[in-house]
Amino acid sequence: MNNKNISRRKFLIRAGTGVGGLAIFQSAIAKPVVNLLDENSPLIIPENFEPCVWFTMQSSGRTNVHIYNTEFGQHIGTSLAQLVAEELELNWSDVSIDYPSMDQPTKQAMGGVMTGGSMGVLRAFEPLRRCAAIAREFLVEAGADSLGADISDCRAEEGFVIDAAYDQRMSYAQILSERQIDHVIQPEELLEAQLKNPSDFKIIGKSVAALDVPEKVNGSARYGIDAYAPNMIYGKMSLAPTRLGSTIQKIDDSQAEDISGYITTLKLSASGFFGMGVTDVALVLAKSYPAALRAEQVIDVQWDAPVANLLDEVDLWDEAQRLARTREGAGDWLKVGDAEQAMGESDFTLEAEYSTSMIEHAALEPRSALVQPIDGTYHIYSGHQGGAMLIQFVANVLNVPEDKVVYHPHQIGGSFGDKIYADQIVVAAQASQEVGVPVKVIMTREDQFNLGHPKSISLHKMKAGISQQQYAAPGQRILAVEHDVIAAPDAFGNRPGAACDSIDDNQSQATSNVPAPVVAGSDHWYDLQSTRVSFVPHQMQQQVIPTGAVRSVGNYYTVFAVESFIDELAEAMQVDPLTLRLSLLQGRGRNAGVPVPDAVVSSLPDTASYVSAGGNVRLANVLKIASGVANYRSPLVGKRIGQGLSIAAAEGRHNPSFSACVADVSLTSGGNINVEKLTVCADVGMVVNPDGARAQIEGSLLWGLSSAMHEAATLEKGRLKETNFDNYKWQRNADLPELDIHLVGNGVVPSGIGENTMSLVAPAICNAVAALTGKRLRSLPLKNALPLV
Amino acid sequence: MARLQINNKSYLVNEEADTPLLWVLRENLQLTGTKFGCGGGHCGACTVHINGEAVRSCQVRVDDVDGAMITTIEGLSSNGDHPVQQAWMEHQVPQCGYCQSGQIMQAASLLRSNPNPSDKDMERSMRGNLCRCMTYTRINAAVRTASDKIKDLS
Repeated sequence: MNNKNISRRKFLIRAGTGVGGLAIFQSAIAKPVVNLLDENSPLIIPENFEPCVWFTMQSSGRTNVHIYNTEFGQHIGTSLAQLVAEELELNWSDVSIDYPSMDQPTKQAMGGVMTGGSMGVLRAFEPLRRCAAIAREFLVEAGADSLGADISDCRAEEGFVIDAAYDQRMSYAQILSERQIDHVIQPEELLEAQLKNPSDFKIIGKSVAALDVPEKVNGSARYGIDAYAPNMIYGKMSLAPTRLGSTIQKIDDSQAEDISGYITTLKLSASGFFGMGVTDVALVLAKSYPAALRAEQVIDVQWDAPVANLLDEVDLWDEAQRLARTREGAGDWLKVGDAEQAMGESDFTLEAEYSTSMIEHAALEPRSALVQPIDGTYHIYSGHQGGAMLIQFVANVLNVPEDKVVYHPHQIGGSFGDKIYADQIVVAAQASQEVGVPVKVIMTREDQFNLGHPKSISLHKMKAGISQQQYAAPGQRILAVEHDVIAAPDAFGNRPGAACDSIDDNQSQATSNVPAPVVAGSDHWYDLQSTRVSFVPHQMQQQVIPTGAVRSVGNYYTVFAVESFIDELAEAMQVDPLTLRLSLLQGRGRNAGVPVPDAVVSSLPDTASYVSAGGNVRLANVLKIASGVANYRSPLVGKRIGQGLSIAAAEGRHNPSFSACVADVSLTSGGNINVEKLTVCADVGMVVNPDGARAQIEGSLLWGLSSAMHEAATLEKGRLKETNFDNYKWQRNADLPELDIHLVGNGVVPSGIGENTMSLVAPAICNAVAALTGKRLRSLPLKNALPLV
Repeated sequence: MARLQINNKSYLVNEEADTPLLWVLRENLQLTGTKFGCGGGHCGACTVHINGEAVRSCQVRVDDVDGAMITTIEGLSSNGDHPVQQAWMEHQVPQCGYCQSGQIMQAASLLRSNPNPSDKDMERSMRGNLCRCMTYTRINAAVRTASDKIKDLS
């Protein structure tokens, strides 16, 4: 097999006989480029080596790694470049990254690239390394040939092919200047890639500086809002009185006609994405953005607002309570054993109810879009998490073929799910189609709140059946747990949940279809004798506010409910919460995770499916580390401090990062909660960039703190009451807890890092407050319960 | 017609008197390193220096800064190597980076007037600059490092 490949490759690696000399460059490998100064003397441009969509090697020795994921602070480009550089044996200083445009051919080649769910590195881990390893073999072969060496004596190292037998070397730059390697790696070749052993990694696992940091320090980074096209005009939205369902009756712009630069106002309609609610938008166009802002103030739009949508926050909660009683539309997401029967056999039951508010993305860059029509093709300059889906969506709205829409990605000034939604891109595209010139739509902060896609409210009804049996292990005494999650369904489609016959059953059957992101995290990793988790859709909320994916999606509230309830159970059973948790993390049934075959891991065909290998034993281990490091409930911590635990395996079973937290909490003299320290241990499988991972966890923890303590978006007459950061409060650079972060790589592949620790914070704080004061807080944000008296 | 002195260059800008300086910088002059975040002075993303003082450019009318010395992130240093920027690199502060021009301008202004700030001074100066990626712990560490660099220089 190997020999056959080598002979095929020999055919593909082309070079002139007697390597060296300008004539050979020209005839054999160089691409002639017309020299405008002298047509008879073409410029000599050696061709690049482009074996796959992921990277291009230039004859200068530089390698450009093409990043199809969107960059919004996670430094995904750097992590993916590390994967390529490692297997390709590059010198890190020879690596750069770029962000290709997304058009229909690219979409066909790449499939639907979507950045989200903390899946970026995991999805790329296998294909990028394998392509790079195969390209490395080509370079070694070409280098060996040029050196006149036996290929078996040659290896690649830091940008050189080295012949160990004769102690000679040749750089990649030299090799690629003299030869053209003309090969595109085929999918069937990927399995033959000779991957490095992880113990030999030199770049993966190293805290290289992020490649997108310098431009973010000197102000030159280009974000979507910075997009520019010659003769573009500007659009300012004038928004409807309700978030959804309002329609424009009439636009009177006579007052705006005196404003210098005012052009016109268009009646448009937009939705955030396929399947989401539609709203009319009046788009004020002007030659400058300030002129558009001024004109929008004076135009008179007559709206028809649907009375049914004029709801307030209290209506959402009344409906949630009604749904909790009736369980209307409930679907089972997880079933282990027969929880109903086991509940009936228990000695006593415990019930609790938890609730959380709506949360806005509040990304600091408001959404914006520049759409430029050129010869019937619409060029989108913006920041969006899924360019492939975006061109499909916009083509659909504009009623043009998909190959007439191209997305040019820009840096994203914070997303957290916000830049999945494309209302502003749709509006800019529609306007550019109508007026025929480039249109740049910039949302103000008020527009952003008004046209937002917040996280749903959530209500959790939890019930457990407990046995009084004295001598059983604590976990064995919990006979049944039932959890109803009441929240708005999302627009991303349903997935079947899982049903197992018993705690030791690892072959689950499909249950009802449920929106997986909305219930993410409720499918937790505790070994329960029997359990049932159900989703009850809050349709009313989705009809009034199109709720969306916000950092960690469902984990934020499901982990809050589950981890608070575990502590309440521990108290009722009079066992320590740490003891109870460890007793429920024994790797039973499906909680053992995906079994890994005894083969060498690098020979596995699809390592991504082994992300959960090790199962909840890894959760037990991070919990032990975090509680140990935090000196959990040692007398030395002192009575002034309450400590609380939590664990999570966000984002879901398909991509768990096992993490644990200890919150150290005290009370101020005024009865406010002072979070002094968060100790976290995260097992992210394999750490690609330790400093980058740490940065993500630092941000996630403070996000979790901000959401838990402060954040609440509220419904008022069919739209959000909050309009800007003066009335939507979040964490400032003040009163920060100490963050003590410990990274563990106990898996076989890297898992997600951007979301997993965010959901730990709220339950750890509440468990700590309960330990300190005896008072149980069951509703987020906690500011509503303060001061504690 | 306002005559603006920005990053040691002179510009004539023909905009309505009440146009926020922010939009003149970003759209008329394409100095896009200064960011729009809230338009209400709540977030600090648009922070620039006016005569050395950190100011929210979304809250300043263009006519009011006629003749004043304005510095944006593009003009803070010639090579992106102001001590604050160096410290920001060393600590790998930015995630999405959107607020960081404002954070850096705020920190540079603080350290210019107070090269050795106490924790309280730092908090008072920096708490108005929001960061949704929540890079606050690194921002604070970087301000400390920048303070040390500036003390070493003087």
